[in-house]
Amino acid sequence: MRFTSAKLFLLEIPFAASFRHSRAERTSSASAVLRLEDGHGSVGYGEGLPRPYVTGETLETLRQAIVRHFWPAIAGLELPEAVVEDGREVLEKVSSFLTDPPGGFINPAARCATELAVLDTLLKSRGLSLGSLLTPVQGMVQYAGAISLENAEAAFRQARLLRLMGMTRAKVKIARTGYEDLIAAVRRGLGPGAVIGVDANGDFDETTALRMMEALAPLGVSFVEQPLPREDFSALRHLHARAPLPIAVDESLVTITDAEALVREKSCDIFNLRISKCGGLLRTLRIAELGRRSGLRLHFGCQVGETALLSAAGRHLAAHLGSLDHIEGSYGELLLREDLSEGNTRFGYGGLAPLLEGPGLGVMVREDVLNKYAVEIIDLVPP
Amino acid sequence: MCNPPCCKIQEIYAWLNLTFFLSGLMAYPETMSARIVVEKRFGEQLEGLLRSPRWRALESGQAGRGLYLAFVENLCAAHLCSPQILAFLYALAPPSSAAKLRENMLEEMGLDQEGIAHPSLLLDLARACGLGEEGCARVQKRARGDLSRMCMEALLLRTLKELGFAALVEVSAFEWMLSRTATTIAGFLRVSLGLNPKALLWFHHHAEVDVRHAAEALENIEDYAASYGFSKDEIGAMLDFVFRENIFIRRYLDFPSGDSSQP
Ligand SMILES: [Fe+2]
Ligand SMILES: [Mg+2]
Repeated sequence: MRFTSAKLFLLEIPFAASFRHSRAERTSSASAVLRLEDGHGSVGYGEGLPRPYVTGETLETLRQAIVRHFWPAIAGLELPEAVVEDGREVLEKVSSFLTDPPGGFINPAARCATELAVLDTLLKSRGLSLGSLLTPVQGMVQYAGAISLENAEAAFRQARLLRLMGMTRAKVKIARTGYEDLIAAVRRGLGPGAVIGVDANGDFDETTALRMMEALAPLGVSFVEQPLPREDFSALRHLHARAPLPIAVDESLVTITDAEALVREKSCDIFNLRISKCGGLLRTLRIAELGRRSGLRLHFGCQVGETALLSAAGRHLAAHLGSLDHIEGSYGELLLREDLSEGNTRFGYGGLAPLLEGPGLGVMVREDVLNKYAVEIIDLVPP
Repeated sequence: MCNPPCCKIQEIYAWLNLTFFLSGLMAYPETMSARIVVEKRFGEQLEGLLRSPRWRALESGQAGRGLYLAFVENLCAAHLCSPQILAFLYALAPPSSAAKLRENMLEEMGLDQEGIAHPSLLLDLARACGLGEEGCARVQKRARGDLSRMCMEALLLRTLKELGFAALVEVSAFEWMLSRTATTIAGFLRVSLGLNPKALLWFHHHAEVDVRHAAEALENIEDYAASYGFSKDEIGAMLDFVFRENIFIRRYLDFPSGDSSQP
């Protein structure tokens, strides 16, 4: 099998409601979908969401990385006909074609979109689900809610809405001020017994972070994600040594090298995995495995604004990893005005979602929606 | 120097301002009835619609023909299956409001004394706009598609009780909004697409008849909430759920941005 043509869609899908954290406020998603064709009627899709404040990527760097590097890397490939004896081997093989571009700047979202599109096409051409590569160890995936950075009243209402939808677990975005009131409001909205974590998106320094954690621990907060900016590695180590709450790393955890350093330095308790941030399925899986081997807990995050494609990839990987403490994503049209999938991938009551069993990622993409929200469509031809 | 639709809009604004002023004075006391809370939310939604650039373009006569046609298609698709939705609401209605919902449903189906099925009025409107049989088929397909999507999506709510409440609130919001804007809409469609009164009969029904329906609808919501035992907080959560975005803009004014909103 080889790819005969490709299209890169740069998308801007409006949100049904805006989402805010300490680093950004979004009212629409900026995402990219790569569409591949194999010339025998199989069409596959992959998605990546560049987020400057996480990986330094923008839609522009993503476009360049795909047009100049990743597409040329896969355009001429002859992919093996017989696959799926060993799922891991297939993932490794596909991943091996997707080396990082020269120059040191990593493009995880671009790489992720490419990897997913290759796998989706390859699997569809054989009528197989991604679940045949990533064997699920559980039959459903249960998602948690996310509460955007708001005042206490608005946070209460978001929490109350989550409770209405049967969700008893949420991560609350916080900033340097007002977090105690926020947590009290969220607790009131979610109801007794709810599990609440916070995400600071690197808004604190070592001193203020410690003060925040000491204030939140008695309020029954379960974990604190990314208290410090990504680059404050030694401060994170110091903070972790004294912290009264488990620390999850998110922005600090992009590459396997980051993961190794975090383990070596004993800087955290939890890895927050995200497929687009970590550069695709296999790289995310490797980070997860390292985390588990090192006795860390795993959370599974999403990109705010991701479509059904990344949600589906997340569902497969989460079901494959199993026993994750906290899973986010699959918000579908709760967040996006319109999602790309025919039939929905969004979770239902209680945050529960079944496994996706269709070929490839298990998403039937609505091309009309893809075209409707494309701000740019780039045709790629084999070089 | 302003044409009738524009005057009508100013009236609506004045009315909205008064409502918000009054509700502001009351500032959500514990005792505030469900009806007032609900109507306040309807007002916020309507205000969002009236402020949106596309509505303003339509209402001022500045929009291109393509935008008017897209608007008509959206409106038809949004309301074509309302008999089915009303039947669902009738099925869940508590005894105290079942009779009103039944009457509303029969009227929508053309089974009352008037004998005019509202969906057929919508298709007449689509034809009069020159959308043709092809356009009518497209609208019907969309309306049915929306229904079947609704049936196949994973439910976000716990029981039919909540789902019914969400549907009742949404349907009522449209009746309420139409009772205040139908004449305006008919006005700008008449001028911009050169339609005759017969083509605009659907709006006549929803302007006149729905003043009564809209008032009844608020009672129905209160009835429903009381009969199924929704707490004040649950009502608030349900309203946040239904109105997590502007449902009027979503149903009426969402079309591909390529559509000509220019004159
Ligand atoms: Fe009607
Ligand atoms: Mg985070």
